[in-house]
Amino acid sequence: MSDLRDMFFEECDDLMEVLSTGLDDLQNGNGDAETINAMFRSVHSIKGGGGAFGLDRLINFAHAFENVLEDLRSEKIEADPALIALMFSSFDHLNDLVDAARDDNDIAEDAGASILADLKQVSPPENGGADEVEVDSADFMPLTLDIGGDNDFGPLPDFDLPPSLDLEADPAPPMADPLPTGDGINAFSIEFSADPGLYSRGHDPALLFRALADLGDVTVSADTGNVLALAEAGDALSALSWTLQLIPNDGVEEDDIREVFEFVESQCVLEISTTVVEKAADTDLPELALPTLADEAPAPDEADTAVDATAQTAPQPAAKPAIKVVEAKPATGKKSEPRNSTIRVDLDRVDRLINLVGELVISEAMLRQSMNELPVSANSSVSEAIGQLKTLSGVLQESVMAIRAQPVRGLFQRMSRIVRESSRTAGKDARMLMIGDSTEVDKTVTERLVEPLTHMIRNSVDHGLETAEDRIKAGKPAQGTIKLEAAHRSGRVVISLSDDGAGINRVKVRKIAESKGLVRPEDDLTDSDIDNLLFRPGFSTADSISELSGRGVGLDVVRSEIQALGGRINLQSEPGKGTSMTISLPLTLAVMEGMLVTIEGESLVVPTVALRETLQPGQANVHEFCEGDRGLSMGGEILPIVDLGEALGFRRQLSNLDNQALLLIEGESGRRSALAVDNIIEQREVVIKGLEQNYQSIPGIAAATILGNGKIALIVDTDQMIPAAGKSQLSLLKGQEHAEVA
Amino acid sequence: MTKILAIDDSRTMRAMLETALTEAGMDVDLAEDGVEGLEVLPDAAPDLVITDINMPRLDGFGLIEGVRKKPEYASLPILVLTTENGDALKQRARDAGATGWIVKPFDADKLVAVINRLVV
Repeated sequence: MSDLRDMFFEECDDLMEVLSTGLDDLQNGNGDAETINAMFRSVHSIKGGGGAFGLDRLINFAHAFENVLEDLRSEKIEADPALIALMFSSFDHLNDLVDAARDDNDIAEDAGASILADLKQVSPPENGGADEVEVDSADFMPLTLDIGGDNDFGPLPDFDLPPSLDLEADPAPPMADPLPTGDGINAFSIEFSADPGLYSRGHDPALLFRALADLGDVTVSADTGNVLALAEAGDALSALSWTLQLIPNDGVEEDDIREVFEFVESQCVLEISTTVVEKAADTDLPELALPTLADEAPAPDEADTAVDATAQTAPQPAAKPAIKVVEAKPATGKKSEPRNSTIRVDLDRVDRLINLVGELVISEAMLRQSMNELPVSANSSVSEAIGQLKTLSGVLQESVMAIRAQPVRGLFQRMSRIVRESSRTAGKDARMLMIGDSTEVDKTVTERLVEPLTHMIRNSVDHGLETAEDRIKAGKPAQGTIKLEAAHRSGRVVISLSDDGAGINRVKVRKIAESKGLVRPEDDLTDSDIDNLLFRPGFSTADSISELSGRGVGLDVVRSEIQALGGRINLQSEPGKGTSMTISLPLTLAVMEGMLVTIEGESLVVPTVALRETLQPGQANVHEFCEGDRGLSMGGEILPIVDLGEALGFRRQLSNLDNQALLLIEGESGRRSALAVDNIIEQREVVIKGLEQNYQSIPGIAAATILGNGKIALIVDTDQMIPAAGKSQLSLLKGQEHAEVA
Repeated sequence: MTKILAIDDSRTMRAMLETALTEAGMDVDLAEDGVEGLEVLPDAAPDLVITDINMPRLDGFGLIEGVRKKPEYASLPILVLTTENGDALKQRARDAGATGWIVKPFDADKLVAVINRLVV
C-alpha cells in the first residue's frame, strides 16, 4: 500500500504540473477546450486517488476546484482574470494539501478556507452543499420500477410504479414447480422482466439468477407469454419474464436481493415481495447450474412454452454468447505489457548505468591509445572497428546521460509559485514569464536549483522590482515581470532570471560594501565589480531585514550552491531597466570539464569552472615575499601564486617558476590565485569518481577521474587553493596532512 | 482465469486495480485511455472491462460506445469506475452501454464480488 501511496504522490506531481501548465496557458490566452479538460482531469485524478487513501481534506478541496473546472469546461463560467487568479491560489493550496498529505503533516485548520469558500461561490456544490464527496464503495440507487427511457417497444406496460404496487400487467404465473405442503416459511417472490437494453449492456438474467442463488434456494420459472407477439415485432429479446422464489439464507434481507439487481434496475421491471411458502422437502434447484449457457441459445420463437430457466436462457443478441464456460486456457505466457510510454526506474540503477558507461568510455579511450602504439595502419579493419566503437560509446554515453535529464518545467513551475507568493508578501504586482521550460537538465541539478532560484527570485521581487506607483512614475507597466529562461548553450545549461525592475543601485551597494569593509573608499571599481559585490559573503542590501529575502543568507550562498553544482553565476544590471542573473551549469554532475595538467609526472585536473586564464610567468611580474610566498602582479593587483605541487605535497617548493605554467583561478568568494604547474596538457571532459567512497577524503582534492591510459588523475579542489587574505599559502591546508599520492 | 481489461488514465488507479484484481486471481490488462483501451481490446480478449470516465483522447463514454459498436463485444460486461455518483452520469454511462458502475474509491472485495457476478 505504501508503494501505491508513493506512486500516487508521484503522479500528483505530474498532475500538478499539467494543472500548472494549463493555468499558465489560460493566463496567456493560449488555453483551449483541451487545456481545461486536461486541468479538469488532473484535479479529478488527484481527488480520485486521494479518496483511495482517505485524504478527506484533499478530496473536499479538489472537489470544489473540480466543480469550477467543470463549469468552465461546460462554459457556464468564463476564465476571466479574477477566476484565473482564484485558480492560481487554488493550485497553490492544492499543492500544499498534497505536500501535507505526502509528509503526513497537519495543515492549519483554516488554511485555504477562504479559497474554498470562493470556489464554492463560483460553482456552488450541487444539492445545495449536501454534496460532500461520497466515500461509499458501493452504490445503491433508490430502486424504482423504471423501465427505462430507451424502451422503444410497445408491449411492455409503460409505467413507473413504486415497488409496493402490484404489476397488474404481468401477473405472476403459477409456480412451475408447485411446492409440497409443509411448514410455512418466509420467502421472497421476485418478478423480473428485462428490457432489450439489459442485454445490450452485457447483462444476462442467468447470471443475476446465479447471484440470487448465493442468497438462498431459488426457484425460477419463465413466462413466455409475450414471445410470439414480440417476435413478430422483431424484438423477442425481452419477451421472457421470470418469476423467482427465493427462500433466503439466514440474514438475507430484501436489500441484498436488490443489490443483485443493482445495475439493471432501469433496464428491467422488478418486483420483490415477501411471501410465505410451505416448506419444500427439496427444490429442483438446489443450485442454479448453468450447463446450457455455453451452448447456442435457442431462437426466441422456439421458446413458446413456459420453461424452466435452467433449460431456457435468454437468447443473446450477438452470435457470441456473453457467458463463457470457464476455460482452462493455457496461460498465454505473459501478460500483455502495459503500453506506457514511460517506465519508472530507481535512480540508483540509472546511476550505476551511467557509471558503467563512463568506465566503458574510458576503456575505449585506453584501447585507442594502445592501438596508436601498435604498428597498425589507420586504414586497417581494426582501426575502423575501433573508430566505430568510439562513435558508439559516445552515443551511448549521451543517451545514458539523457535518462537522468528532465525538463526544467517542474522547477520553473515551482518558481512561478514563489513569484506569486513573494510578490503578495511584498505588496508588489508581479508576473512570471517562462521561456525554454522544456530544456532538459540532470534531475539532481534541477533539484538542487530549487533553493538558489527561490532565493534569487525573492531577491528580485524584494529588491529588484519597484512598487506599482514607482513603476508607473518611471513609465513602466504597473505589473513587474520576472523572466525565467532556460537554454542549452555550448554543452551547458544556461538559466537566467531577469526582472524589469530598477536595476542595482550601485551607489548604495558601494556605500554598504565600504561600511562593511568589503572594499575601500579609494578602490577603483567597475560597474561589474560593484554588481558582483552582491555575491560577497556578509553583504545585504536591504536597509531593514525584510520578511522575504532577509533570512540571514545573501547571494553569496546562492553563488556557492551554484558552484557546488559545477556552475557559474553572473549578474548584469542596467539602472532603470532591470537586473538579470545568469547561471551556467554542466549538463550532468557525472562529467566535468577540466584542464589536464602534470606535476612531477602526475596528472591532475583543474576544473574549468574556476579557471579564468592560463599564462606563462615572466620574471617581471613574479614578486617574492617573505616566507617564500610569491605573488603575480596583474593589472595592478597582486595575486598569490600557489605551487600546486608543493601544496599537494608532491615536492618541495620550486625556487624558480620560469618553466612553470600558471593557471589563474577564481574561487567562490571571488578571490583569485595563480596555480603553478609543470605542464598544461589539454582541456577535456572527465568522468568524476568520488574519492570518499573509494578511498578517503584528501585535502585539496575534490575527486578523481580515470584517464584514457588507465591512470588516475586527481581533480583539484580549487577553492582550497586560494589563500585567504593575508594568509600564507602554507596555511592553505593547515592542520591537515598533505596528500600522499602513490 | 477471469481476464479483466482495466482502463484508467491515473497510474495510481491502474496499479490499485491491478493489485486488487491480481490478488483475487484475475488476469489484468491495462490501458491508459479509451483509445488505447480499444486498441488492446482484441488482444486482451477480456471477460470484463473496467473503465474510468474522465480520460484524455477518448473518455469512458466514448470507449463504451466504441466497444458496443463491435458485434463481438455487444454483450461484454463493462464496469464504469467513477468518482462521480450522480444519476445523470450513470444514465449517460447506461445509455452508452455500461453494464454497471463502481464508485471510487473502490473496495477491493466489493469490486471482485461485482465482477464475479457479471462473468461466468
